[in-house]
Amino acid sequence: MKSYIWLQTSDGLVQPVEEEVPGRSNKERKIFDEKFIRMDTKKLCELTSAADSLQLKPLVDLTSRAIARIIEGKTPEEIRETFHLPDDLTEEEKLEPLRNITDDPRIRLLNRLYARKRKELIERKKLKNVEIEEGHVDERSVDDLLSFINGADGKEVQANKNKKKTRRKKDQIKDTSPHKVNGTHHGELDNLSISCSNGDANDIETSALGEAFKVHDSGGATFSPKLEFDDGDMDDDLDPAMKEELDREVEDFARRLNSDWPERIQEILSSGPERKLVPISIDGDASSHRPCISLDRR
Amino acid sequence: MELIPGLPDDVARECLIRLSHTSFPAASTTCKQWKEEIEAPEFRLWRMSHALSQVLLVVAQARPGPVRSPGCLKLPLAPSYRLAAFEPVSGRWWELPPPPGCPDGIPMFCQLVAAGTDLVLVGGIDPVTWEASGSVYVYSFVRGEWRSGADMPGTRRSFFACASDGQGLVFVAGGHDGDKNALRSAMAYDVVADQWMPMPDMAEERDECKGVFSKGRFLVLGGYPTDTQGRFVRSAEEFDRATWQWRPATEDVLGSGTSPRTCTSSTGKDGDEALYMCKDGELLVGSKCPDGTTGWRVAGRLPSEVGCPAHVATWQGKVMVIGSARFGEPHVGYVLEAINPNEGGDEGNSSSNEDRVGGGNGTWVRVEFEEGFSGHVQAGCLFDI
Repeated sequence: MKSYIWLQTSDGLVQPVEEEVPGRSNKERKIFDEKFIRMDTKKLCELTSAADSLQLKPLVDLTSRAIARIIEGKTPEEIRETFHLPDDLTEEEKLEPLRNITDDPRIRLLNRLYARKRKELIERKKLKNVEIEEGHVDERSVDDLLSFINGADGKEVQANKNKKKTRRKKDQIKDTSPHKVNGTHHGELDNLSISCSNGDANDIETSALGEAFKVHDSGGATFSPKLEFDDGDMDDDLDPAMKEELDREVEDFARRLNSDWPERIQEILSSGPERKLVPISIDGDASSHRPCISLDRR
Repeated sequence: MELIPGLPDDVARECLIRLSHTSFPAASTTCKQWKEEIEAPEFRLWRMSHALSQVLLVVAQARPGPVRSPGCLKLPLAPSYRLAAFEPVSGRWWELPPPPGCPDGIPMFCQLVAAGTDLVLVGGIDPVTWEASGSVYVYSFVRGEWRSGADMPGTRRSFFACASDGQGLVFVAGGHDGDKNALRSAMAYDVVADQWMPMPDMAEERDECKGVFSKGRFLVLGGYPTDTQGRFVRSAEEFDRATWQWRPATEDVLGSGTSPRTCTSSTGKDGDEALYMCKDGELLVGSKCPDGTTGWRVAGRLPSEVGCPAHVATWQGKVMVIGSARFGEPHVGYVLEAINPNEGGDEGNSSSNEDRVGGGNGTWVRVEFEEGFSGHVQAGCLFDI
């Protein structure tokens, strides 16, 4: 019911004008609404559901907007927690790059690593058809690897120290049984690379890769050296300069294996642009180990 | 499995469609159901039907460069271009991440096309080698990431017409090749399939033509042939998706000698669509006259600050002109509101507060650009996501 009062305007006209109905202004209503929907998420969802059942469109609009605001600004992990959503995206789908609005070089680097990881996962998927052979754990110490490079054939290798502090469960990389070291044929090399990729693939898929740390820590450290060593074994007469370089790289590698995670991330960040992908060693970490081990003869 | 446990799915959908587009990348990587929901084309249509979609203008803009001190004899460096996004509602500007492999800026004079929720960057000139580039980059606003698309096949072309039909196809026509020969060839890019398809040649060679998608066809305006460099023709051709054929355009599009560079088309209901173009300091609108023919009329005079228009964009009945008063000055934007393309317009009044009264008068409202975002705008496209 509108009520009218009579007003006289400046030029003498007398007109009826709607009287402001006593009540709340729009601004007051808005403030009330904002206060009203301040409740925990569970209650908000219940309220939304009730509003929908009662067909109260304005309340549905208000509550669903409030829920949308809750979702905004959260990471996928936080959203899952808040709304109890299943974590059912495959690792590949999850490796969506971080939105790099400020062009932060670290985010750029992480995205690059994600992209590399995704590529590797795709490659691994292709190789999945190949038989996976059960093998025993490759546990070799760095010293053994060193001596391996320097020409010791057929030696049994021991536990490799893997001191990375990660939240993830420890990787068990399966090695293939043809543990032959001398006279490696390319066929074997392929088998090795295939099986180590498979080993990696299994491990990667079983662990949550959403976090940045895990991208770096695929635990493939043991394999990159092995493949490269096979190569090294083939070329027995290395010239001294090359040998020196190899020794340096291996030391580097040993250091990295034993260093802490924060230090590693620092190194990776600082050496970002110079790293190149190692073709065979399908391993997220390979790039970070490149200065250490890879004998890029190609 | 429900979208949001505890809520019926259609209610959960009401919540998701109210998300800001900035949350799409995070929300679509939460779980499988949310990913499917947000990436589906219906999601965007739902948003649009509820008037919840957000308008976004993406431009290729010169990066703010070092300020030249007066009296300094340094030669101005060629500016490097980057992609910037502008939200007209909030007035917010932000920079988009660069495409992969463009460390020195995006290709100059590239074409930007909005294909649904994907930004497609086609061609241009490499800022370092100064060679025409045939590369294609696609940025998805849903995933917040870039991917490289298949290169444009054939001879490298630049200054071609480029437009999207809003349904996953991007059309390319004309331009010139390495020897400045005007081209009449055309091709189409399927964004989802990442494939180029050949199209029949146009009737005429068209260098520096402009492409718009209007009323269901790809319209190529103006341009000039190899023999008469710089003398823009009046004719236009249109390409029908359904028949996959070219035919002369139904409207008389251009006055003589104008570059159609600023022409843009509005997305509206069928019959409501119109073309806008800047010419000689005026904003023209081309639409259906009451008698059924299409013609151009003046919608308003351009404010002097955008006397050199660089880009025109239109959405929901508004037209925005970005330009500068004189070449080389910082760019500003003016929005002409409440424009009614179907009525004749007298000259619009700048900064007047008159209401629309029958004659379709509009008012120009100045848009202040944030600091760092007033560089030269070379190309742009509009999103409604």
